[in-house]
Amino acid sequence: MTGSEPTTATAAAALARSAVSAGRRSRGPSIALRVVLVVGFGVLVVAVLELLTATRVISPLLMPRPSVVAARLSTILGEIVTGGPTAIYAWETASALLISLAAALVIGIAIGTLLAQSRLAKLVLYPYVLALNAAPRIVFAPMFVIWFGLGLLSRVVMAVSIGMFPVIVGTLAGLARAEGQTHKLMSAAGATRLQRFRLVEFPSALPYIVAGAETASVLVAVGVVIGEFTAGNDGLGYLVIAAQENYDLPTVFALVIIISVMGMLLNGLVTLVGRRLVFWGRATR
Amino acid sequence: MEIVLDGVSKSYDTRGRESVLAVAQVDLRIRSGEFVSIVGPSGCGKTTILDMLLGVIEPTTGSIGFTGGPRGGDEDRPGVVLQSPTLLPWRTVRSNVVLPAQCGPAARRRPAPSRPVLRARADELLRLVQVAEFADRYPWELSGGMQQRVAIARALFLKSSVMCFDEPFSALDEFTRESLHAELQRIWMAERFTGVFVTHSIQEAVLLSDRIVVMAPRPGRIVADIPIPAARPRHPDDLAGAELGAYLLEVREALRAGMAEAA
Repeated sequence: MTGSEPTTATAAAALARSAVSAGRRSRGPSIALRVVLVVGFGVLVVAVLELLTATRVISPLLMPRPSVVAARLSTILGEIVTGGPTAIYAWETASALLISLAAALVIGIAIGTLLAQSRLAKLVLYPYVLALNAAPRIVFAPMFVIWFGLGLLSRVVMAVSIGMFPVIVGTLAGLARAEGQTHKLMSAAGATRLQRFRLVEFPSALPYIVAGAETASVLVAVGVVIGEFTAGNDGLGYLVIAAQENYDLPTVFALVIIISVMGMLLNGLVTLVGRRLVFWGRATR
Repeated sequence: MEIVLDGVSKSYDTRGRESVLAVAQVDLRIRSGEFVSIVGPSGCGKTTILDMLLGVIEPTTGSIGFTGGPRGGDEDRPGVVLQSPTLLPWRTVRSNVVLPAQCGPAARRRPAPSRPVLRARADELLRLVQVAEFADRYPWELSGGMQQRVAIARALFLKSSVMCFDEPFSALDEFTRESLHAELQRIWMAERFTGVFVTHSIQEAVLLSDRIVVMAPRPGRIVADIPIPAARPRHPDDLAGAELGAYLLEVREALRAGMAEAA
């Protein structure tokens, strides 16, 4: 017991020191260190998986070796880049993502604006918006296939039915955040309703709409892949199902990685454009 | 332009309870080119009167008339400076100043003024309020006092013959406030607009006004109308002098009497 006391004291002192230094440099570890930590963790996990699968502690039937997945990934990527057969599937997924996001934005902003502008519309429609948002959209897949077929349209509708809700909510919240003083200013200037909307309300709602769009970009990817899973034979999602039916786990993994990266790129794109669009967002209030 | 309030009352309906009378039977005449302050404690209806002058709300009874101005009617909307600068953060300072030209009747004016004309007018006003060097900056890059200067420039943009101020300097520090008082006096002496200035600072009212209208609450009404015929420009140090000091006292007593009556 006597031996442990100084150890505890030293640890506490070290902790206090690090707390002090953390307080002094409020930004925490440097960027380089952070990158090393994040990448290092990923590498560690992959290395452990490689070890466990190579030694057959985990069956390769359940978990492909990361090195095998990496080889498959580079093959598929090579095919996509050189315009091989997979490129068509990748393009189908990518275009569905972009079209769905654009449609979710247009429809979401339109519905959000309608709900914000008309009390009657909000009273009647908003409960349905909330109800639809709560419904697990995948149950609509059979209907969408019957109504919109097995092609792109069906998948876009599925993606929009999921992705438009954060845009609706963001638009509604942004527009409802009526600023009394600005409103007074505009009325005093004799502004029409349209001028008020165009010059003040819509721009001030933009930070909220952008936040909605960021969430939408993630949800749209879910919708597109659900569409590809449930019907038709287009897109990387369809290839995943095909590979699964062949027990081709390395291909499943490689495709999952590619689809995930596509989703991340879409989300990053929206975040980047959003930051340029609402350059004032962080500086005010 | 002359402003005449004739038996103006404003009541608000509150859910369930009986309606609240914010302003009761106010008769007030503000002559063309006159600078009038409305002072009174919170809840005396001074902002309500200003909002009615701005056309933001309508009086419940009575009428408000604007007559005899160089222009008139809907074409001549009053300029307005509020307590917060309320500048649009996505617009540059210059572009904020131009805003009134893009609203209401001014936006329908034909032929529409060209961009360089609007720009020149904005720059002229920014020089007048001494923030010309920040024309291309964004409002959030400016201090509170600077932002309020921009708001004044915006209010002056359409050369309105009536200017309304709703406690425009109450959120600023003492030094900034003093320099803006001097600025506002200078601008008013040059432009001679009809000014309606709502404040709860007696000093500010005495310093700036030709006349002070004192209001009392419950219900909001006018209890005194005190002319301040002192020479201009007035300096804050003059407030400690005999002449302005006497007016300070007179306004303070009128406020006190009004409060006693209300209580």
